[in-house]
Amino acid sequence: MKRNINIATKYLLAFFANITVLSIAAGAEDLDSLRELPNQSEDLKVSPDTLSLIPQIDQTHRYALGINLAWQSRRDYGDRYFRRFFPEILGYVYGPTPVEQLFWRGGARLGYSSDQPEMPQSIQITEQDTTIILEGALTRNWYWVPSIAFALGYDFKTTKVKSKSPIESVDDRINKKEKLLLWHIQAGLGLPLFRGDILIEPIIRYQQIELDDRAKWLLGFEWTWSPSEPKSEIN
Amino acid sequence: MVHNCKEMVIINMKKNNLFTTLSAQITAIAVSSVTSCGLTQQKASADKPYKAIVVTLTDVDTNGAAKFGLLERTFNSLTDLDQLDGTYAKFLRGGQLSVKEVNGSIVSADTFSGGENPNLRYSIKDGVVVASDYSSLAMLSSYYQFDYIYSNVKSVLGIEPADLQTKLPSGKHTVLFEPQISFNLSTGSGTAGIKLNAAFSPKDKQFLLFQRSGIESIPLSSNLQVISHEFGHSLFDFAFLDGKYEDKNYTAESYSMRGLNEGWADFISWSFTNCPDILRSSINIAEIANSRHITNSTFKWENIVNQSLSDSAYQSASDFGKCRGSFYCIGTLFARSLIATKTALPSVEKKVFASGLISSLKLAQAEVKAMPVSIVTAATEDDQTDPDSSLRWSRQGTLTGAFLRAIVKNSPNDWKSKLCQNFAENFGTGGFPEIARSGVCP
Repeated sequence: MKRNINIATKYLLAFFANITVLSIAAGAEDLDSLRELPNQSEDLKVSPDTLSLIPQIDQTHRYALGINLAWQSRRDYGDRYFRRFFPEILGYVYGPTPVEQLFWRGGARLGYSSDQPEMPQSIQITEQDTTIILEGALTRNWYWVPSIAFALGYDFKTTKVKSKSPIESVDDRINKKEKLLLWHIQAGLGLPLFRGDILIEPIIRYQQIELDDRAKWLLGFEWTWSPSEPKSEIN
Repeated sequence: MVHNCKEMVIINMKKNNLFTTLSAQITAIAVSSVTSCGLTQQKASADKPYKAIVVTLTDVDTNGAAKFGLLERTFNSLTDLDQLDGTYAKFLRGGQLSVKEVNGSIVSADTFSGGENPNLRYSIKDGVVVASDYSSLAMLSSYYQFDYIYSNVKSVLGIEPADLQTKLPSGKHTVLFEPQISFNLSTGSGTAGIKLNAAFSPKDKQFLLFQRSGIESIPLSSNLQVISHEFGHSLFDFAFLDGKYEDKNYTAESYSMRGLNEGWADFISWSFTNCPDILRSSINIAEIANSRHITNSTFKWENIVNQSLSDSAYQSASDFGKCRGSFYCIGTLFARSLIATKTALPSVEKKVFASGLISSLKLAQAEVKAMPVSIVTAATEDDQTDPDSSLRWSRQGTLTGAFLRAIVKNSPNDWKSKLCQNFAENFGTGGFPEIARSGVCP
């Protein structure tokens, strides 16, 4: 079973990598703007060759970089939760779909947290998490930019025991490093600013992490910046 | 670890149906992941008797300070690791406990709802359970303390675990780990995640291990000194109250009796650990720890009374001569008297001494109730409040004296002299009046 899981993981990671490459290739010439506000007086035309939308507006956005200020809700105190700060840096690429104003979004995220719940002074078990995630999403270009995403990745967890007097001896088998598979589904509703150069997107995420069912929900605010490019002429 | 994934659906990608293909693939993966690929853990099994790395008391140094380690230990009575359920105790995590009153480490519980199974996270290394997070370590360590107590209760206190089980619902304690507390008192109501305490509830024979705090050193929930102290309360319930819970038992709920109950619990903690410095390893705050140091503290009954009456609140107790711990101060006097008596009887085995006191305790409630009014009148609701006058302190002294008389009266004859001597030294005539001594003290 472990071998099958490794194969499935490799397949999925390759799949997401392909999506990212295809999106870039499909949109290289005729990738149209995704993040600016539509001009309601303009008609939208579809190119049969590229299946991309070509709205008649001035700027295009193909890539975006940003941060996600997020808090993970993790069950730590009895059956109550600890809000753990878990920021991410992220990168997006956008691609067209045949559906008007609906776009593909491929993404990569790098997250980190060393936020700890309250623990006694003499004995603590600290957890440090680094996440690497690849994501595929659908997003709609409008005054508000909703998105729905699915992602797969890994949580690289370092668990360490820390002790102080009157603890005098420690069995350090508690210390370990793990690579935990994770997946998540995320929904967001973005507010584009400056004709889509900036997108502020509150997100809610449901996630599952291998061997850890404490943290299922994450709330965040994504702030992304996309360099705008002049739009090509309509054919 | 086993994934419960169903087979992923693979769709051939065709150039002119790229979007359809991609959409279908994503949907298939998403649906598969949500419905079946839950990344749930099928725990590797460990063999019984379970071994785990837990917080454990390792030594008491020459200054009476407890030392601890995070070491491998064996559980003797744990039967279900994932449920933390065993012969003498079962753990529940969280939940909400409705309480009527909190008196130190005695909680008058009303109802309990919720509570989950422990949801331990651990790995197995060399056949040893190794916790993967703090909560799991705390629960495993806490269970170990109960396991240790019940495994050694016969050798330490001379009492059979099976005898204790007769007074427990389903023959075992329920231990509530980090519950939320809701209050509904005449003075107000609300909920709280109480920290920095552990408690015993006589109504349901439950132990309560409150939420961890950054102020703690050794977590209270994992400290044998603290858990054996709480066990001492359950033993007081077993012996003095015969395991019967009465809502308005004014004798048991009087200010002085609450204090004596705390002192008894400190004595039981010392019996298991040989450490008279009950609290410092968990709460290293001089003002609190010093007055609970059984042998180093020097205050007597008259000091407690004088401090109480000289200020509206108790004095700061950064030195060992003062006590700001309310009825706990009476408890320290009682524990100090018992330990001094045992020390003065070196030929008496520790477990024989403890067993003899338990026997005296079993007869004490009836003894007190049967005493003539010249020694003590029946306790009333008014005796529950903190004494704030000489008269009230005199009344508490009467109640205390009656209890000490009952203990002496039912103890072996060759102990009585030392018991009386130490009670008199610590409680004076205020807490152990001459009338209470007559006819029982040599």
